[in-house]
Amino acid sequence: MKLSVPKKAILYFLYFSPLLIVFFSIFIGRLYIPAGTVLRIIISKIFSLTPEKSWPRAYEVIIFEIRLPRIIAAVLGGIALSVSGASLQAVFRNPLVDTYILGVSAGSAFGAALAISLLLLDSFLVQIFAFIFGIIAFGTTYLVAKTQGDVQVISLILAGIIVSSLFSACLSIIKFIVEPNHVADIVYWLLGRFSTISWKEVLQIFPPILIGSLILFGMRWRLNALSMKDEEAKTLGINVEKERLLVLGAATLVSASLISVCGIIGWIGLIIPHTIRMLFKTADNRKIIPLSAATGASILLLADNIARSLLPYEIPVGILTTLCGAPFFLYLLRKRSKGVWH
Amino acid sequence: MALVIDNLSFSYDIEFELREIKIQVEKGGVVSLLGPNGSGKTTLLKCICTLLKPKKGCIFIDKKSIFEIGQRERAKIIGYVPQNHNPLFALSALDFVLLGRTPYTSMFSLPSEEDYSKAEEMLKLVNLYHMRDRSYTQISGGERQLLLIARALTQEPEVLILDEPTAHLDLKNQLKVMTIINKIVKERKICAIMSQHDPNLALRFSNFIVILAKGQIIGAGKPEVVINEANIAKAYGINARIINNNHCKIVYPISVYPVEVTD
Repeated sequence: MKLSVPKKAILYFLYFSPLLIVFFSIFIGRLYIPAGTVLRIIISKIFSLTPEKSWPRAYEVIIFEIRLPRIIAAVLGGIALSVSGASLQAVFRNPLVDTYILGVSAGSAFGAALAISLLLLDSFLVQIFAFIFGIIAFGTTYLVAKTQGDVQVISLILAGIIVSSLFSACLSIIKFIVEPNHVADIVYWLLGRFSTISWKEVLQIFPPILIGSLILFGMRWRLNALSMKDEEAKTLGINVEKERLLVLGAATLVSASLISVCGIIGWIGLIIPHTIRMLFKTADNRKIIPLSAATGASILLLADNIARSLLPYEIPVGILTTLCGAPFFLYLLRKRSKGVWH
Repeated sequence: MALVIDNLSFSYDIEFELREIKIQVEKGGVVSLLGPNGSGKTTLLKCICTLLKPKKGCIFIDKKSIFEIGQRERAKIIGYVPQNHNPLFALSALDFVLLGRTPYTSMFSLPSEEDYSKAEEMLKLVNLYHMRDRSYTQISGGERQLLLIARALTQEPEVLILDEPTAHLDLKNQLKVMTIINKIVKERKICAIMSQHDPNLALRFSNFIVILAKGQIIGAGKPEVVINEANIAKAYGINARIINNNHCKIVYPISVYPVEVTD
């Protein structure tokens, strides 16, 4: 693929943007810390300097214990959502699918609500429940779709819808029967936010997101062949069922891990790969996967920065991504150039 | 014999879709399968691609049963050209042809320089090298068919299987596609087996014709011999005339029989 000069500039900018935004994000927060002080704190930390500290100890805690883990979680989240979205869109041959199509989001939401309603209010238990039920939902979808050893795309989509609505119904039951103050907890969990992130959560989601994303990144060329019809992919020598299960499993792993700590953040997995496809007029997953990862990380981090600093109180970032994502998607649909997908 | 189909029978349930099919194809041979809709042409081709598993009989390529080798190894000896299709995502022509190298790469690897040069070679072979950066959805039906053929050739197969390669193509593209298939089969010493709806194209561009009706072979042999008025009537249930014009036969369909012929 030959790119024009401005497109090339955009490409390099997108790859570089996460670093840039991560750097600026450290300066942004509820509590105002002068930029110079932030810089001095970071430099003294990196080089383990112990000059006479002219700043309160709280500043260090805010930067290294509150802002930094949150920034890293947003970066990981952006990568997880956009890489899993792009991969699923390839194997489902459908630009409108996301992990919700496999029932993962609905399963995780139910899991979290169940934990909260059972008064397992420790955040770690809520996360474990959300993660396990996300995986259970995907497993159910896959088994339901599997008929006579054969898994077809259309059955997967239908099974996903059925499993999702089952878990949503169970979620409604929980909302209906629990005490009102827990309903608020559940709703808050569902909205999707990074405000509860500490290093503990970051360390918890880092390994699964890294492993899942590396699998999908490693398969980026294979995804091109997997986006052909099943029969065609088979005649190209691919064990379609096995490799598709690996893609679905990896995508489920990364998204369930993310959802388990920060709730449901919509639209990133849909918008980012789609924008990349349209911007670079390509369907080659060797480009789409890494570019989506970089762009997703930047956009989600940017969104989280806005969520935590725009208003005097914090807006859940999930609301923000949906609020911006849906109209933007509408705009893309109206404007899309012919042929990128149809 | 490059390809031997030995006593092949296939059924979805009780009723046979294919019954005791025997075909042998030499290297450099182009075989056309003729027959009405539902006569089992596509089923037979799918059996050769092992997309369907036959009930009885076997298929050999270079004396090896194709059901006893792995999927990946099989993709190196059988190249399948599906009927013209519209993929959702538009890869560039080169990236599309490059997919033919899939059986030569592992799950987590990228195509090598060698894979690229093979794909480019095949693009040149079908005269589409100048379109390598063009998006798959922005090219014409005839060119798409050629790209599908180029992709199958990039697998470096010994047998090329084509499902109605001239369907939905205009006259010029029909000629172009059939000429290129014949040229490639001769040059690369492989063989091709295709389903075909047009008896005239089959007459001109194949050296062996198999006529199927209701899952059975009702005629097989050299084109000039097999294509006769009786066989056309038997297979399609139509009244046709064979016109001899300068050593070249033309099938001219005249009318549909009022009642189905049985013999």
